[in-house]
Formats: sequence, structure tokens, C-alpha cells
Amino acid sequence: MICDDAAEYISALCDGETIPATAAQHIGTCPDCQARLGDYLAMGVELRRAASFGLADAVPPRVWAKPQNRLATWWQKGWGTMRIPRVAFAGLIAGILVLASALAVNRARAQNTGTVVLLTTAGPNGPLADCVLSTQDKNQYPCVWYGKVGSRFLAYRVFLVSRDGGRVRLEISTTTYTPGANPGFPESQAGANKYIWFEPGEPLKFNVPQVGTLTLEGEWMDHMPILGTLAPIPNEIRLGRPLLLKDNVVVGDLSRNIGGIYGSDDPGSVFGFYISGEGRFLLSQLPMKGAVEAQVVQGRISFDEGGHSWKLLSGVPVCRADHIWVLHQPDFKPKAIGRNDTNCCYGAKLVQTEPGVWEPQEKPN
Amino acid sequence: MFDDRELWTNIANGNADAFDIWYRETAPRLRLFLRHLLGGEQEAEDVMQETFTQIWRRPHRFDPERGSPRAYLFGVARRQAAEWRRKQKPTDELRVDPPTPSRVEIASMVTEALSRLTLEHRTLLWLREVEGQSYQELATILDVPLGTVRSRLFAAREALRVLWCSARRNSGGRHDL
Repeated sequence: MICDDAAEYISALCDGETIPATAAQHIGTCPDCQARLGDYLAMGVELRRAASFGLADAVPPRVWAKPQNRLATWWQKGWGTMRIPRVAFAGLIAGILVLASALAVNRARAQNTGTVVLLTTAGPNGPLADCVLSTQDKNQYPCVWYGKVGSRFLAYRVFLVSRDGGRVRLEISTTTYTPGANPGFPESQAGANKYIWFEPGEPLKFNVPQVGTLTLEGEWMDHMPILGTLAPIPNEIRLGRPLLLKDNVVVGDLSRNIGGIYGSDDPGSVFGFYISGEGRFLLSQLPMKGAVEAQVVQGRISFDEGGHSWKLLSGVPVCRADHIWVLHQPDFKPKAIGRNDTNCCYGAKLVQTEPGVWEPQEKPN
Repeated sequence: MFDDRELWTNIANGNADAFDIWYRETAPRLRLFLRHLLGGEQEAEDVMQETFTQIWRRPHRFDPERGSPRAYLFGVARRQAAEWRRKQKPTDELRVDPPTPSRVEIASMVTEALSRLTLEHRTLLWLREVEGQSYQELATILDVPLGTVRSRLFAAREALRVLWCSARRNSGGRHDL
């Protein structure tokens, strides 16, 4: 071992550390390393001797006051070093408070300044439907939903009757039905429907016999939101606020019947609507007996039937396919008609009566 | 007399008497340490008072698991001194007050040589040789790994030795001891 390697161990020896045997042996026999050890020890002694003189000086007595509240200290410090007039500072604080309170008021008002109620309905087993009700649209259309809840088939319809500040009066119709049959809601004037005041933001529960408890939740909005996805899913046929044109003349407006989006993604079923004076129209992806093939481009269904040119215009794309089948039944007479001279929506299963030909399993009428 | 644990329990509870006992016990040594770190009497006094004030206001920052209260005190003081020096000027040069009559006696060659070391070497040598801090405590105070302490101590000693031996040669071989 050479002296340079042993030097760090000499330092460690001064600190009371043990060192490797080879280093210890070298230090014990090397005059230079012993001189270094002597210097290190002498330096330590000299430092401690010098320090001994300085320790004789007394420190000034101090009073240890209880630490102040940090916020109070901060405030006192800020108040004492303030460089603007106190009045200006007070005015600044007052201004901030006024602006903050105005903001809070606006936030509170924003909850009921909308003109549209987004209504969410949940059944005993989970969500049923979302729909929107406008307080300004004179061609008001209801929220309508058909489907299975538990072991029952429920038809459910909600009209927005009036508005009073942040709440709305709703007319709610519910009925159970048999699949394939027209549910036939009770007429408003019959007094069979429920009228309730509903405040968006406050959940509302009501009981439907044989079905269970339905829960309504709402939210004010300042625009008509788009519900659902714009693109149809596989096998889906759907309509949104449809308009029927016969030889380019409007003969049916179903916007009051299908305010949102109505459809089915079951390729083995058919659904349709009735328009007074024109009969019933059934739509399917399978060729039905007596049906004509219709061309589909986005939200437009075009077909020729009975010597007329027909167009069914939908607010949303109808299906993924470029054609569907339309069965027109001009002599069809429904038993139950809704509020208007249109009726929607019929549904039925299709059965294959011969190769490549299907028919509705039963007349939905 | 308080032991360390009892002392800090009392200080943490805001016991001013306990803190004052600790202050009177440790302040002289801390001031001396700071005097060698900062070079000036007044600066050392100011930084020392600031150090004690900070600990009195926030005693809960001390973690007994990480070392003794005295090691914590010197660690805080070291940081306060470094902060003070940072605000003064970006140099490691030490301004040494002319020795007052009471300090002439201690202005030996080794302390003169010490004042010419870097801040880190001065801190390390003083805490080890004068304050007797262990390697573990030095690692905590300086916030360096334990293994680094030994090598840095050696470097500090060697730097001081070079200066000290040079001073002895220039003074005709007179030894301070």
C-alpha cells in the first residue's frame, strides 16, 4: 500500500473508525503517514482549543413568546406593509365580494333558465329512457317509450303541459300491453292520466300498478340535445321526427309521435305507423309479402307504390343498408287512435311463409 | 434536567421554559459554529437567532427518528447560513471580522487556515472536530449519503493540513501547539 491510498484511512482513524489491516500496518511503519496522522490530530486539538475561548461568551437572553396563529401573523404583516390606501384596499375587497355574489346568483339562476327539460326515466331494474321536452315548442311532442319492465310490457308517455318558474307540470300516461298489440294510451281529456308538478334536479318517484316504481330525473338545458348516436347500429331501422311525402306533397307529420328516435334492431321484426287517409306503412329489412323495395340514403326512404312516388324523411340516418322493404296497407283502420290522425308505432314479429317471403305474425291492430 | 426525548416533548407542546433551557445550553456552541461559517459576529448572531426562532415556531419539523435535537439544530443553522450567504453574494470567500481583543487569543494559525477553506469543508471539520458529531449525524445535517461523509472529511482535513503546514513554514516553523 502506498501513502496516498492510506491517507483516507488516517482521517478515519482520527474519527475513531477501524481500518483495514493492510492500511493499519502501513501507517504503523510509514514515517510520512505517521506525520500526517500527527498533523490531523494536532489540527483537531487546535480547533477545539480555539473553540474553547469562544464558548465563554454568554448569549443574550430571549423571551420565547407563544407562536401566533399563522393567518393572524400573515394578516398583521400584510396590513402593516400595505402600500395602497386602506380605503382602496377595502373597496377592492368589497368589489370582489360583489362580483363573487353576482357570480353565485348567476350560477343559481342558470339551473332554471333553460327552455328544455332533459328527462330521464328509470324503472325498478334500471334506466328506461331519456328524452327532451321543450317549454317553447308549440308543436310539442311527448316522450313515448315502449318496452319490457320485469315481466310486463310497459307503454309510457309524458307530455309537458305548462311551466311555472323552475318547475313544469307533466301529464304522465302509463299502461301495460301485450306484444304485438297497439298500447292505446288513454286520452288526456279522460282524466285517466296523472298530472304532477316536477322540478328538474329533484328526483320524483311514482308507482305504476303491476310494474313498480318509476323514477323521473330532470335537468334544465338551453338547447335541444341530440340523444343517442347519430349512426345506426347493425340491423337497426329507426326514424326521428319523420315526414311522409306523397308525390312531393306532405301527407303525414309524425313529429308529434316520434319526437326523439324510434326504431328496432331486431331483423326478425317489423315496425310501422299509421296516417289517416293514407293507411299503414310497415318497414322491415326482410322482404314481406306485398311489400316494395325502398331505396335508403341517409335519412331518406324513397319508393314507388300504387302509382305514387313516396318519400319518408327522417331526422336521423335510417339504417346501414341501402334498401329496406315497405308494406303499404291503404285500407288499414286502427282501433285506437292517438291525439292526432297519425299513430305510431306498431310492432310485430315476422314469420317466413314461403322461401324468401315473410309476413307479420299477427295483425297489430 | 431534561433528556432529549422529554425535552422535545415539552418543546413540541409549546413549553417556553424547556426551549429556553435548550437555547442557553446550545446557543453558545451554535454561535461559534456560525461565526466560523459566516466570518462576522453580527451575522452569526442574526443567523443563530433566526435558527432558534424557526425551530421554536415549528418544533414539529424535527423528527427524533432522524437524529438528535443538537444535530437538527446545526442542520437548520447550516441551511440558514447558506441562505444568508446566498442573499449576500454568490461567492465562497469568507469575510472575517478583524479580531476583537477578546478574540486575538484564538486567532491561531489553524483557525486562520480554516477560514480559507470552502464553506462545506469548514462546516464538516467544525461539526466533526469541535462538535463531535458522528458520521450518521453529519450525513443528516449535510444531507449527504453516509459513505460520502468519510471521503469528504478526509478531503477537508487534507485541505486544512496543506494550508496549515504552509502557514507554519512561512512563520519559520513555529508550531501553534
